[in-house]
Amino acid sequence: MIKLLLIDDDSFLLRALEIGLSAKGYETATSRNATDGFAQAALISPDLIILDLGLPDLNGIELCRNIRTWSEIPILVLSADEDEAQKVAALDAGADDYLTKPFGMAELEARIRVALRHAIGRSARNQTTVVTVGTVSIDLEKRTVSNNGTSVELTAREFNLLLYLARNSGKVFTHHQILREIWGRGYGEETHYLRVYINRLRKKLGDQEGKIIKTRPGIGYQLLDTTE
Amino acid sequence: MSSRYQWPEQKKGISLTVVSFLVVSSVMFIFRDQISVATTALVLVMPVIFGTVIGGFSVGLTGIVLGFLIYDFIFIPPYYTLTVGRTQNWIALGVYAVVVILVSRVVSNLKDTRTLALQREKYTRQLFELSQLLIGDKELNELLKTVTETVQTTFQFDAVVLLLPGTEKLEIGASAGRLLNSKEMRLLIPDQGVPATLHRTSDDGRQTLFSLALTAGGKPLGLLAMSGPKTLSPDIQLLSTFANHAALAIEQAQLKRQVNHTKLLEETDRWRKALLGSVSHDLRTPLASIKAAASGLSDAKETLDALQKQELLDTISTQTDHLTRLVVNLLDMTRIEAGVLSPNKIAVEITELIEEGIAAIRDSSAQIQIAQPDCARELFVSADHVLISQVIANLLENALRYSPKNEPITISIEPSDTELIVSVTDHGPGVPPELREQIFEMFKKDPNGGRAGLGLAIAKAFVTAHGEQLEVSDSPSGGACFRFSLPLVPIDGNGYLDDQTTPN
Repeated sequence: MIKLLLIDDDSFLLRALEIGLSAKGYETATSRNATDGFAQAALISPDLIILDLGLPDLNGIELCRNIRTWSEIPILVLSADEDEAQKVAALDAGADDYLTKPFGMAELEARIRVALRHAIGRSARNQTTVVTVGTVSIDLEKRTVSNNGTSVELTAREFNLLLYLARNSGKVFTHHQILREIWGRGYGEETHYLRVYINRLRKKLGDQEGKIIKTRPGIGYQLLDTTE
Repeated sequence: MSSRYQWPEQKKGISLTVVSFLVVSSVMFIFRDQISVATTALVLVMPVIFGTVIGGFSVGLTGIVLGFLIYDFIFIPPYYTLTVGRTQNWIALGVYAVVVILVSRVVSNLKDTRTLALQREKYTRQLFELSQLLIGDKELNELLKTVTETVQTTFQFDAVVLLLPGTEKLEIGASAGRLLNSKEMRLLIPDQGVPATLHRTSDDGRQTLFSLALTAGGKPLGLLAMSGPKTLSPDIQLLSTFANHAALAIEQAQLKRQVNHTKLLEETDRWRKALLGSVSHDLRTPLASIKAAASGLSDAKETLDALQKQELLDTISTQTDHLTRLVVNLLDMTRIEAGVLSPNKIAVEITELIEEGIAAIRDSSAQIQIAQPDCARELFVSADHVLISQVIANLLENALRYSPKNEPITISIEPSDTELIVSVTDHGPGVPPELREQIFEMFKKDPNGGRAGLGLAIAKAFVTAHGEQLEVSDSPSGGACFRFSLPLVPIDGNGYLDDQTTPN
């Protein structure tokens, strides 16, 4: 059974999520503050953490960063604020995805599934020489890329960009994270460079609608498995 | 130059010259034959110098003429004629005249310089003392008051008025002494862009009106108008200089006021943003539970058992109530902010208000005790029915939020002769003294990280609208105690309301 750890100070929401998720076959544990949440995360080693950013004792972003120092557990962040800066900060701190309150259970479950699946594939992908996400497969040794079996010609930077997103597919990367990783330190604000490269990649992969490389408006990008 | 000497000084100088001439002439007259003509001339220089020292050069001149005549008439032979005999005597007379003129000139110059230095010193000291009054972080109105009062007392005007540009015309910023009459006010016309200069504006026989444009950095700031008796002759230079200093100080105070105003606007803006963020957060929180519960119900219809379904439905219901209260609070707050809150006070029975307050929170699990004195009569208070039941509901809601489960909340009422104190006591952590003001502020983040929301701010505003105060203290049993009072409505012996004294 998949174990989820829910950390939120709103008992009503916690209870509703607990009932809704256990009805869908998940095992749930709950925590109403960051201190307890941090301890539980270590004790029960959940498969995924759902974390509210507005916790009474510690900012959710801080908690995210703390957990990331020792664990790769996927973290799904919940935020009541529409403030994008908060979400970006959480993702930069190592969160995998975010949801803005209020949200439906179907949406939450979909996000949970994506995060879990990619987390499972992640460790495997990092060992092999070929990374496959849905129809896209990347050969690390030959540095070639194919989509649906047809090979795709990419420049070195396009290749690195695609590989970076694919290695952690399902995870939402912020503009800042991608720019620093692919363009190097000193970059971070030049989102227009990124936009140009993402458009080229999409064109080459035949993904004009952005189904493989999904845009998360105002936040960043996410590589998704389209076969599921 | 002679104008620098006052008339009494000149008189004194002349008298001294004449007296000393008489004395030295008489003495020398006795020994006229023993002393030489030249010695006599030397002695006769003295009275002239005395006169010049006391009375200045003009007195000196008189002395010179007098000395010349005495010397020639009495001491140069042939005596008692203006005729000068020998060539030698001519020389003596000539030397006397020249020496006396030169000495008198030098002495009077020395005296002039000294007088001038003294005057300068006095002027500088006065200006220093005046300027000293302008220094310091004075608030604009206080500064204007100081300026007018200083000018009035220092220069002895009857009336001093400082006019500042208002929205359309000059308005009185501060005044000292009597107020200017309307005729005088009409006569004042500001001179734009002119550095502070003094104008003698009008003369109506007994009073003289002065006006002085205050400018700083070439920009007109205002007008200083003064009125005094006709005989008054103020030190114009001192007044103008002081006015210039005052203008600079006023400009600085005005700039400071502007800076403060800008700061206030920024503060308000920041507060608004925080408010908006909090409203967004507070509204989304119950919405999140409602949405999660509702979508959970519809997504997992088949797998949920009856108990779970009921729990989700309850969540939807309670959170909708919570949201409703939040929206009501927000609307109330808007009413308060818009300033349209005027309590409609009627005589109302206190337990009725409390019951309504309890009903409003719609939390059946809450344990609420009502502590009331054993008295047969019913207690009527003068209150707005809607507002005070809302106050009670908000206080209960706050108490429930902080009280541990299963610990009762107590509402108690304590009547005195004229008023009734209502208090709500919980068993929560209490409110530390340093936060007792803050908790009544809107959306003040509480120290535990949660949000205090609007409830207490609204309760406070409603109680204040009744002319009463809402206060928080520690309860003896631990926890917080919120209390406010309401005026009791007198009841006559038969248990009827005494209509005469029912407050409106």
